[in-house]
Amino acid sequence: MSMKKTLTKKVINGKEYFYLVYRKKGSLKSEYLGDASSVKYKKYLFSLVKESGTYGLDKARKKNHAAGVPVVYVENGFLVDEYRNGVKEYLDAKLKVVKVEVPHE
Amino acid sequence: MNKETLQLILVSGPIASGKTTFAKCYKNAFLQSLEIKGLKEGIKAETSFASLSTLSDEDLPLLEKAHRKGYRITIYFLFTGRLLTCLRGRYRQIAEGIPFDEAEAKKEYEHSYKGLEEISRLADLVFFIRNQKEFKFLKAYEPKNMDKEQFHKAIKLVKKAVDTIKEA
Repeated sequence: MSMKKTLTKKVINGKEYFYLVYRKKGSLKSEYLGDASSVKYKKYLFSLVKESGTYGLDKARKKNHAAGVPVVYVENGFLVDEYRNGVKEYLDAKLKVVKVEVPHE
Repeated sequence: MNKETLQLILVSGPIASGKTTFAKCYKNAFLQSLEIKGLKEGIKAETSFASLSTLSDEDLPLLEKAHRKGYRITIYFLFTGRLLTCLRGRYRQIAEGIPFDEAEAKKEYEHSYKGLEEISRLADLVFFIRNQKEFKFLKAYEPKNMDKEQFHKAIKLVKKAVDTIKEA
């Protein structure tokens, strides 16, 4: 289970700085993330909204399937055409179908 | 008190790389709730803004202008891969009716990377994001503080990785 970390903000001379505060073996620890433009802070934000990462695929899936075309992405180095009925076609670099996956009932 | 630094947050990448989707997903995170504007319009208004770009030849002079005006430029560059870009474009044409010219798309695809190399002298922070199934944060660079060749090498490495689709 991941440790619960709370984001805290400190304002020093009008500039905002961010910290992650958490408890480890009973004692309170803090991890400095930097200001709003720091890479560490952005990585933290990214981890929070990671589930949004599939939003693009979900959106494309809905739109494409409604129009009767597959949604396409890359999985394990193969191009994948995913159809509305759940069938996945794996294509190689020459766009030749090398594997077909049919969903189980 | 110091005048507030102007921010330009640029979501860039080739055609069908997921720029619009990224901007929607992370509007309040990476885009810092800034208004999305065209480059010309945003620079003219002299306010902080976010923009989407394929880093085409027309956009580069505008980014130079932004740099001269003192904008802090942050780029989120989306890597997808040539074949995937073409297929997404093709399916998008059928699904959404967006015109797609494969030959033109292939040309523009390469152009985007050239644009990214060009812009390295102007950008303060560049994030590499892989978008082949979901957004994957790869690395962040400060091109101004690193060797130009080293940055170009980093681009080529990721480009090669996303362009590689397995041979059966």
